[in-house]
Amino acid sequence: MDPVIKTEEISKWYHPGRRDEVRAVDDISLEIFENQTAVLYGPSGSGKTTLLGLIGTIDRPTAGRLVLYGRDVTLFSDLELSRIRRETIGIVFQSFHLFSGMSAWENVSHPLIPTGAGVRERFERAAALLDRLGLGDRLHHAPEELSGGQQQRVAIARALVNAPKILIADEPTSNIDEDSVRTLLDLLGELKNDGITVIVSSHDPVFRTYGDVLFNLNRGKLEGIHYPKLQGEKEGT
Amino acid sequence: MKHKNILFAALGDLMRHGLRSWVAILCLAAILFPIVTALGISEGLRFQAEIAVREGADLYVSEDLCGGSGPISLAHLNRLKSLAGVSRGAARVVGRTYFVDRLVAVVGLDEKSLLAMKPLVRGEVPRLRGEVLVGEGIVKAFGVKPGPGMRFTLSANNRKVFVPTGTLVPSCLWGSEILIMSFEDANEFFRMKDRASHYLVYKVPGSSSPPLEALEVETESGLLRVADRQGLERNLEAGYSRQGGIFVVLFVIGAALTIPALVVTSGFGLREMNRETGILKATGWSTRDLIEKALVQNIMICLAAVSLSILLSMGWIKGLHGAGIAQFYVAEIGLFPNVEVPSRYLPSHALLCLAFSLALTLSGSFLSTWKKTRISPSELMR
Repeated sequence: MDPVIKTEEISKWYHPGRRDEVRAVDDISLEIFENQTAVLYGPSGSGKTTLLGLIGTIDRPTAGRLVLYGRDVTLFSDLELSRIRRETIGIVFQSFHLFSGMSAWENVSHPLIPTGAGVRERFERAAALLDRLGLGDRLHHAPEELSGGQQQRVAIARALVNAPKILIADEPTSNIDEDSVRTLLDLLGELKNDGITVIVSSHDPVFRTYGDVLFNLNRGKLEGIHYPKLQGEKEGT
Repeated sequence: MKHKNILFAALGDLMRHGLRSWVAILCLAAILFPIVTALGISEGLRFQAEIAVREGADLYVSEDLCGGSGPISLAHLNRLKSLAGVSRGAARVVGRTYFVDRLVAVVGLDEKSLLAMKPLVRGEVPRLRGEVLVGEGIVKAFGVKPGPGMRFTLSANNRKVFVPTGTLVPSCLWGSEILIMSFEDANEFFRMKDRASHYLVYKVPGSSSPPLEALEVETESGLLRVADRQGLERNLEAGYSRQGGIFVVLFVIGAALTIPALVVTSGFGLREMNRETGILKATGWSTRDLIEKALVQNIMICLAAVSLSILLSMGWIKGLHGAGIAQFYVAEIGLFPNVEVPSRYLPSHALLCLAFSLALTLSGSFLSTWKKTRISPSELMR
């Protein structure tokens, strides 16, 4: 079976060649298969978010290749990458990045605007998702009127609104309370059951034993790959 | 549907970031306002002048004086009146003098012309020697009240006492600071014995090109100078174009100094704009979509700025008589005119301002939006 995501010696360096060069991601090769839940695990500054950005195509690598569904997208044009982000990948940011002054349903439906969906269709799809995530009574509330956990669910709904095959979540437990963490883990489980490939970056120990595969990162390097459900371990490539 | 969606999204964003939108609109309106006002005044003056020319005589005849127009001898009048194709001829004296400290126009007309002014006069038209019509600007500025008991003395080449009989309600700017009297009084006042400034020649209605062969002969021989209506209209056009050109040059210099200010103010809320652009890109908006949205927003801001600048301009002209701008178009009107300045707004003015403001915004914010779309979403959101 081919991986849906494959990075080949992928790197992201800031200020390359200068004295203040930072190797945020350095020479990482990994594979994530369809419907897997993968965790990029490591301490702060280990390169999790940068690697997640590279996989989510919101950042371009300095070196190496990114292969999505068998296609090398490393040198794809801006337009092609936009299409991938619209059709294939949904991203939940650590600080949610919701639009202030816009209601929950408007935030969720915003990615549908360039698809040409009418306002009624956009509302119905956003409302259905928010309802599923327990926010059916918060459709018209602005992010400022929602709790951290609720804001995160709005962000998840936005990431799911285009029915992506891959969901990426950056540090999803960092801005929510304990109850919301449990709700989140249940939700990620549900999404996996829906056939979505889920990739999470976190330094939260709750994710050490979560998911199908855990990539242990440190200082931009892949230090090990764990398979929590198999209780096995394979050394990093 | 996609374009309609982007249109409404752009409108929604402008309302969501109301303060930023207003700053942009006000900056643009501040730049557009002087040019809209100048265009309005210029067009208003041109329109009034055109009406004056259209309603005036068909030909204006004067004597050739060193290649220019000079006073014409009254001896020509009867001969001109009798030419074929002429329905009426009238001599007119036009000059200027000081009324207290203000330079005013003095016009001497024949009796028929004076009587024809009756609908424009509050009071009576001059019927006797020494009587004069006074422009409304003079009445307001110096408290001249036409009627018995009021008289004033004017000096030019001569000193003469006049009695104001009525006020000329100005239908145009030139009617505001003017003194109108009988031809004989003006003739005597300026000591133009047996001469007039020019003859006004009216053609028989419906007659084709003036069959004034004799006149043409005299014109070619350099004795007389004849200005026809078309010639006056051409001169008007050239005059206003030149004045407009001077203003535009001054304005462009001013705008060039203002553009850096606009660039600075367009940076207002830049961080938030970058973040939102990054989010949109990360959630699947393409560069093309973002540019379309930015373009729509620019057009909306420009439309609002143009509308606002036209409203401001109307208020400026009505309330402050075009202070600071009218002086470019009306000689000696001063920085703060005390008479109403004519104005006229045309759709072409709005289109010109829209094009100008779009050029400004496209070279500023639109370009920066395009640059932003070349940056990766994660960098924009950082």
